[in-house]
Amino acid sequence: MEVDVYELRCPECAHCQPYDGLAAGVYNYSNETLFTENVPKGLYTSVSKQARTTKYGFHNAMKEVYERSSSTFVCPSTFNKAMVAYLTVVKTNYKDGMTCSICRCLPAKKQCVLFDGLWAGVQREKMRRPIKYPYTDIHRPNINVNKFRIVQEQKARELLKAYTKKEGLQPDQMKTLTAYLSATSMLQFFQYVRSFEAPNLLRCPPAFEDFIKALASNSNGLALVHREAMVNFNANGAALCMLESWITHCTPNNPLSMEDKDEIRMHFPALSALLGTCSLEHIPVEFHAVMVSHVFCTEDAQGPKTKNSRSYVACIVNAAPNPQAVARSGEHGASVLGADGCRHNLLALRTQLPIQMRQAGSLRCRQTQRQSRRGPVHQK
Amino acid sequence: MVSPQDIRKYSGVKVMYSHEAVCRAGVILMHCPHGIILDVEVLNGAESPVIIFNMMMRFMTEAPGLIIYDNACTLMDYCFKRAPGNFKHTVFKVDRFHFCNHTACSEAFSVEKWPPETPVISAEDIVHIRNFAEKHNIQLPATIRPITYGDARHIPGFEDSIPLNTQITEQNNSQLRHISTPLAFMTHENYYFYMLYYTFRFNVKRMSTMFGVGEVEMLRRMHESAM
Repeated sequence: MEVDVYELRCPECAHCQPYDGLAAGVYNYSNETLFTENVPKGLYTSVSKQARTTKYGFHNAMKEVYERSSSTFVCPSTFNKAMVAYLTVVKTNYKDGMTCSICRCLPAKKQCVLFDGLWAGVQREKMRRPIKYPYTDIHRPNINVNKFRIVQEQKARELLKAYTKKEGLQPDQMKTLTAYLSATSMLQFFQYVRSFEAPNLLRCPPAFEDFIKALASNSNGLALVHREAMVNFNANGAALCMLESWITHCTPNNPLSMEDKDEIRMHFPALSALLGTCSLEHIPVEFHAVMVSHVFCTEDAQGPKTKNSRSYVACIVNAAPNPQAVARSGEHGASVLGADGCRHNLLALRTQLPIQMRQAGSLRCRQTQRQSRRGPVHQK
Repeated sequence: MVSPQDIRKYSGVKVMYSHEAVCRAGVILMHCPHGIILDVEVLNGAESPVIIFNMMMRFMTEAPGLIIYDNACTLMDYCFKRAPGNFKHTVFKVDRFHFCNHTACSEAFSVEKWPPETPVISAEDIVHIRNFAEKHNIQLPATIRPITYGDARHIPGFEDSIPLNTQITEQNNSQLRHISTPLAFMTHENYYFYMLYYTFRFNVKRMSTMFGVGEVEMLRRMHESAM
């Protein structure tokens, strides 16, 4: 079909305004070839839906339709260029289109993102240098990622790698690494937890030294314990007071009462779960009763009785709050003896703790499982 | 009787596959919990935590509070070694579908092992969202529901919450997978253009569902806001 295309010329500056035709539902490619908007829209539909039509396949289909009406369709290369050009002409607001209106109102710390890969390869021979995205200026500022690497020194990274793999470092290497990492609180905490001085640095009671060491030497333990929770564990002091009171008052002759056990389970799930992560030999004797109490307390709700530590942790996490324990702590004002000699209300202490610590749920490492699965190591 | 395998075995004919024809691995997509694709990164090699780290550093001024990824255990190590200060508030989780493969990882990476009422977007956050949107003139859907780790609707105070869908990425990928065939025959530039355009249209479709309007109406709103 032949049409006449007119251009609008500005009378003042003689600027030529080409006719794009979008308002009339026509896509003007080059003043010589015009498409109705059904063509690019049809291409989008056929390509993106179940049919998985290629552009060449769509061109063939369109060509057949035109040939039936004894007219000609454009060649494949022109069609390809026209369709790519259409994407640049059509109005696309990538800024708003690639933004969630709900999540953008949240601060970054509270945002949640999910990543996943999608297999959509391009032929290797057609790959060129990376191309900037059309919305680079809006969403993706060109930031040198290396600037964000706090551990910029290669040597420091090597030392850190050796350190985290428990290969051991010489004192001078340790000093070098400490100098590199002194600016980062996170890595200081890594050192706190991972080093053998962790019990001293955390000011933990003597009875907990083995427990803290076991936690520190466990590589997956870092994932188990939420970092902030662990720091606040020490900084807040509430949990420490509670531990001290336990150690002071709990003896084999004077074990923890059932109410205390309930309150531990209710108000310090993180601590309860922590206890479940380590083997019994690393945990003070006073806490064995606490662990067993969890199993007994949850067996009614969970069905068959099991003392397997894994199911124990699952029970702790999945167990619904015990309303009786909540009521008890509220009525009687259950308290613990603090380091300052005063008694603190358990519920009040709990509210002081950060939410991460209260919710540090299932904390268990399978390292021991992995070792046992491999079987005993035979020395040559 | 001679089987085709024997013929192939003794005739000395080798089946030659063109390894060069197939190409790069694909793309990495960043989603929000509502299913909107926030960013697309084309892979030049295998999928690795490096890509995710670079995406977050380039896309976000601050690290997000929760990251869900197939390989979150390795990603956590990578991020903490490179930029621990940025990721000190970040929690890393493996999605439900892939967690069964993490046999040697901590159960703390699982979403299901945490209390179901653990908030991703809490009721207080929604109040903040409303206030922020009103202040900055951002259009929001009529109903915004809190998101929790698990199904916490039986817990008092969480009746209207919805569980976090960690499979939203896989669900979106299953729809976007249709374009992988046409994209494989495109040049590099066209690949970028088409991929972006399709993700954009995908988002428009998703947003139109969120806002309860038609897709054309949603496109029109976006065009108006761009002007």
